[in-house]
Amino acid sequence: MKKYLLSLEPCKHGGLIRKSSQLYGIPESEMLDASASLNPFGTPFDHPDSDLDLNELLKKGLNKLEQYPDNRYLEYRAAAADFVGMGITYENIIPGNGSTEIIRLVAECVIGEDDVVLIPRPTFSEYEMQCQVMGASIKYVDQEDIFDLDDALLEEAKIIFVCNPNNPTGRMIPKERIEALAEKCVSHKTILFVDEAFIELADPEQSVAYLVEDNDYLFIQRSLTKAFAIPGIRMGFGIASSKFACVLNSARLSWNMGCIADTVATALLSMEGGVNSKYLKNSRDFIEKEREFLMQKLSRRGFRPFESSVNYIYVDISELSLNSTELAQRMASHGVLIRDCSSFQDNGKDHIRIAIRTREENERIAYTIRQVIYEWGREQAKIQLEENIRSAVNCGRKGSNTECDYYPCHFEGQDCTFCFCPFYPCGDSRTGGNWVESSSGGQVWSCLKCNIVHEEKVVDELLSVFTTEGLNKESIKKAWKEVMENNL
Amino acid sequence: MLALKARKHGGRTYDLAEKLNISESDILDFSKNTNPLGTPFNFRTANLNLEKVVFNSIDKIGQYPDNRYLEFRNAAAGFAGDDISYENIVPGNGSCELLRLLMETVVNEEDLVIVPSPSAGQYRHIAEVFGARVNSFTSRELLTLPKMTLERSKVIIIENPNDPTGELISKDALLSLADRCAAHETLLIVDESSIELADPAVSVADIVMNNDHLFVIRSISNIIGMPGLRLAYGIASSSMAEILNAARLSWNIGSIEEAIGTAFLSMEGGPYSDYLTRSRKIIKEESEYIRERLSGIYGFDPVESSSNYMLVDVKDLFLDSVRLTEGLASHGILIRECSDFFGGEKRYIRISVRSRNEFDSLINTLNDVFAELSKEDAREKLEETIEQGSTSCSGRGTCEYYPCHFPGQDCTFCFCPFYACEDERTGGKWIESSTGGQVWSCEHCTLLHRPKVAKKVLDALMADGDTDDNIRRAWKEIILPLLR
Repeated sequence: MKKYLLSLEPCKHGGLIRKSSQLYGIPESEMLDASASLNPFGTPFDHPDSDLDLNELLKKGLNKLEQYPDNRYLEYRAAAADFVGMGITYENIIPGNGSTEIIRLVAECVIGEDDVVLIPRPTFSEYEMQCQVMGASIKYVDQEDIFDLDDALLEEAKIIFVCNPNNPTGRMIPKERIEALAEKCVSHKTILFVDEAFIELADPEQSVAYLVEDNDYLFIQRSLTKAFAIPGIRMGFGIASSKFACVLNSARLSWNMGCIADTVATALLSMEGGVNSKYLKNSRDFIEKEREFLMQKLSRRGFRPFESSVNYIYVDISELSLNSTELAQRMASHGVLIRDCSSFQDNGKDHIRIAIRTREENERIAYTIRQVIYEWGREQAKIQLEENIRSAVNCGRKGSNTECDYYPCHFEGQDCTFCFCPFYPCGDSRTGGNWVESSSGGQVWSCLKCNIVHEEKVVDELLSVFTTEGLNKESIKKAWKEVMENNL
Repeated sequence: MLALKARKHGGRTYDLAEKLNISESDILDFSKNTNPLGTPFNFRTANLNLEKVVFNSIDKIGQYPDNRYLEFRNAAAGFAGDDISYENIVPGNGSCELLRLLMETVVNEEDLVIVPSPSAGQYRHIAEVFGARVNSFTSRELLTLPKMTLERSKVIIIENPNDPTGELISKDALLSLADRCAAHETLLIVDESSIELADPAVSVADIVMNNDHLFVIRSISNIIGMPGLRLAYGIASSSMAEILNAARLSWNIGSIEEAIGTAFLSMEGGPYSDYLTRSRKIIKEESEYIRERLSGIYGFDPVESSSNYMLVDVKDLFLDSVRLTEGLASHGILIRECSDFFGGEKRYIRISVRSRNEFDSLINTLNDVFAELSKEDAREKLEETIEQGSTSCSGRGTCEYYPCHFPGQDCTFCFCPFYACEDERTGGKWIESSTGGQVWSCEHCTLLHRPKVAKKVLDALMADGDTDDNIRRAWKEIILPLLR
């Protein structure tokens, strides 16, 4: 085997629901998957006005199982061409067994070992995966820099991958800018691969499909699994000049789509209105409304959501004390899957991607985020508190922690042993504490006006309980009764 | 890449039905290599309900499939043999995808790939997609490749049983080839796409775990009579399978395909399930019947086959394989014309084993096709004769059949313009044909070969006017008086 393949890591995808369900003991039906970016409006089969019945289509497909499919896939290609519009004919269409097969096909036909490939990051990981299989030399550029690339770099590159709208950032590049990039690529004989897998859920007007017939260096990919929310059926297609498409159609597997995918996909693409079918228009309206809602919910401390044009939101959480992997795992333990973006080209652990779902599900996502952060805060507090109590056994109370950014949070000279109050939230207004409105909507117990646990005398009394009995439910109850009650 | 040609496949029944303006279900398809017993979902004791399997899997089509395909791989491992685990299995979207995966992970431009001869063009095509040099050898040659060739080749592909010949290579012979390949670090691909319909005992799947240079391909589509389902799997050592599973498309099979494949592979008995045992029994019986019937027809020389199809040499037939195929197609019967397997030589056809009834219809139709095509031939020859006058005649010395009637016969009308006159006064009569029907024999009619008669008839036919009118007139004015 080719040597460079020996270090190839398998791409772990899918089946997340089942895995998390087993890991956390939550039934699959109660898991909410906001990690996969599928159309939240549901499949066309969920909407009676689309006039499509999945069972009927499957039966129709099953009936064809006993015949070899016509490997030219003429009906499917004609339906795809009509769906895209913009002057595209079936001769421009390359059918594919899902979008990864199309990426692979282009990579196979274009890339040789050690050829230079440009990948703007962060972006969909399948580009580098398929290019690695071909032994390409991958050069990463910044998403921000794709329009100002060095001529020398473009000249050297065999192909550049641009995902529009980009996964995971959700940014949409206007077609005029892609058009300019396409021209630049032609002059350097570099293939521009534009992945429009999500464009039907954002703005199909921004597709550059109208450019392909006159440009042998442009390839466009479309996926049906995202827009129609049916990832279990593998279907997609590529769009290229008829010349380019002819080569790719010769080089692809003779039968790459089975007749079930062929039948279902042809029906989906033939829905009246194409990219502007009632179903897709309603989907876009639905996504826009829910995106606004979720954006607002995500605008909280530690979260910086990016402006998005599509059905997912990319969030910078570098200012959160949790990293993306921890956050995703904790969310999963509550039955909500989000995408930890650390797998996108060494992206670090500062980003997550959340798919936009239905209103009810979006509320659950927002609620779960709140819950996870709250729980995490409690856990950290408890760990810190236990640490402080342990050291108090030898060194007594901590005194003022003047190193702390927040010092003095209550009063000058305060004792900081109980930085985290063991009684929180006591809910007793005699302490000076009170319920306030939180930034995310609910009520939260505020200790701003309670100084009790920071007074040296009280600290000593509390420590005498906790250092002997440890920190547990009983000792906390006892300390409240014996120490706090007398100081209210 | 620019020199590649698209390979047109499938949709043959649809195209033909369209052309003949009949229903697709009225086409008899002997060109596809699918199980004649039909799908296991229609087989009573298999207890599998296709719609149930499919509709149960619908829940999952709203989720990305688990790209490790554990259930499917476990089922395939259980089916393939006791010592095989899911770690030895690589799922594929049809056997071609697996071949392609091997080519792209192993073959560099200009590497030598050896493919079997005869064989379908797919091996060569896929190797050429990756810029390989391709050589082909017969099975016999493949088993005894000289050391030099083994050393120079990157990949050797062998098909067991072979398509189109149906020849089955013994397990011992393959084991020794596998050893030699491993010793030379040459990858041996054994395509066992239809082995379950021939003899699963000759499979070499059971030695993959100790051989990092062996890959076995199994197909599901044809075995279960569902070519519209793209599904196959490869069997390899766990270290090879691990790399291939990393390098394959992350989601190469859909949830419905996975569910159907898993249901089939989990059938009790595996390759020795009732369904497959019965399939092999039917194939064996029907192959014998087909061979016997075809051997009785002049010009048909069937090749002995261990699989569910049979190669037939038609070099002695008055038609070449292309005309025969076209002739049958015009009657709604598809057979596989094999010139693409044999470097363009129009000498072989391949017929798949189907039900007894269907095969009998094929034989009955042959009669009509022969009659039509020989009439067509005769007419063409006649036109030629009329055009050239008596200069073209004789035949003596140049024709291997001379003298077919009597020494000194006139051969102007090698093909009789009055055939089949059905008038016994000529000496002609109805006889039993080798295909079973009745055929008009002219063996005992010498009229048209008498030089004087031939001259008169030729003059009559060369007169101005419509040829058919001239023939009718010649019959009435020249032949009839001779019969009284």
